[in-house]
Amino acid sequence: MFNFENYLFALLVILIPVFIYFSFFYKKYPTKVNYYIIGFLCAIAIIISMSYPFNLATGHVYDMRTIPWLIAFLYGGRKMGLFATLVIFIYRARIGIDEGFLITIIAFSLSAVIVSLFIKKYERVELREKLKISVLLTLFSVSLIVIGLLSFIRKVSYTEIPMFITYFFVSNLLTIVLVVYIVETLMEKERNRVQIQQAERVKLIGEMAASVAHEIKNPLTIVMGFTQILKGDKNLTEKQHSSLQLIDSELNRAQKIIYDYLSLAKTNEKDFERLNCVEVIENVIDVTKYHAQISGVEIINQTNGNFIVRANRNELTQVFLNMIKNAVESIDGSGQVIVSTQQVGKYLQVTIIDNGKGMDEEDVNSLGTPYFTTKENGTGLGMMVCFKIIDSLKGEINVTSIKGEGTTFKITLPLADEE
Amino acid sequence: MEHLSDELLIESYFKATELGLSPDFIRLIEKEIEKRSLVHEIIYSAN
Repeated sequence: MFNFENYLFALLVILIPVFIYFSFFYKKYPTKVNYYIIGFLCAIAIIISMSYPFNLATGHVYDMRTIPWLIAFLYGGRKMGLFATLVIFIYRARIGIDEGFLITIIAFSLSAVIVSLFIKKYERVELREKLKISVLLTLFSVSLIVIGLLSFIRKVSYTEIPMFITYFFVSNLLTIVLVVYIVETLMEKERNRVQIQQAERVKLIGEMAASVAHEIKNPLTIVMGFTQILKGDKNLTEKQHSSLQLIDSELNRAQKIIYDYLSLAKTNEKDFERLNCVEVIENVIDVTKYHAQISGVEIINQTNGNFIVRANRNELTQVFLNMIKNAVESIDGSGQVIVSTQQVGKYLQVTIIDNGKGMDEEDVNSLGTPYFTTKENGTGLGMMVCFKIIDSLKGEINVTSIKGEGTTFKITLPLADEE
Repeated sequence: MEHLSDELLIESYFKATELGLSPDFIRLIEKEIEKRSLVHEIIYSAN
């Protein structure tokens, strides 16, 4: 009874629109248009599925229309799902208004209602959950259809029913798993591609900026040197001396910024070393405080002492740079970011407090998950990298936040043993 | 530093070493002095 060829064909009918979509339409049109395209492709898959059903000797037919119908809801949204439902109704009506038609109307209407409830959640979860949800929804919809069929069956040999039901369930469930898996994989591929592109861009900018900083070193050295020479002249007026003094100190400041930035932009050397965490943090604060000032945010350095940890200097710098930047950017207008250090047992605790816009519980829990960001132009990768690095250092990050009031990050790192 | 006169360049070299300024700076002056083949002037003046 089970015809493998038929199943393959039905599978193909569903997969081809998926591949067409990802090859020609994915990410190439605005989201709204995408939904319509998905709806349209699903409708085609539905119509063809219904045109070439699996024939049973009993005279009953079944097909896998449920799959593209479900895909329309889960990936096209409720509107497209309802459109797909309509397409099923209309096409089924053309085949004939009979008991089968009635079953279709009732089963798919009910299923449509249930499926609609899951759309929002489906969008938010990861692959595993998506597979679970789509399988359950398929199970539900197929069950309704089967119940409908069983209630109406009169002229069928009862021996064939269990087989029919089994094939119906198995083919649908197998297919939805395959389709969801393929769709999600293709989506992730695209995300990775974008991610790599962005990382390349950032790296390029970093390299360019580093070379600029490097080029400035020489002229700066010369200017500073000759300023010192001028200052050393015994025949200067009071005013001239003061002016040169000012020039000297500002040049020193400029030099510090450049050196700090250069050490930040050095390409990754993978070694761990014993370093003073406070020094690293102060480095970061020096580099970020001027930019923060422009936005009206004051970074208050309440760190002190020598806390030696074993870590990669660049990675540790990256963590604090990221977190302090986030703190600064969470503040709309003027505000403060306070960075402090404290020893807690054998650990160093670094606290970063801001009075920015804060986060609600859901966002706090999502921190560090890939592609999660509260920023308009965020990549959603910064915090993930921070968590990864702190994790590799056997440390911890704790976040408390009150929406509208601010956020506190506590980073705990194990202190290096005495040498 | 190409715009400095030879005289000023050498004078700066001595002032820089006298005041104990940044080694990077002194090295830059030395390079310019070498470039202009004025090394003998330094040895001569130092004596």
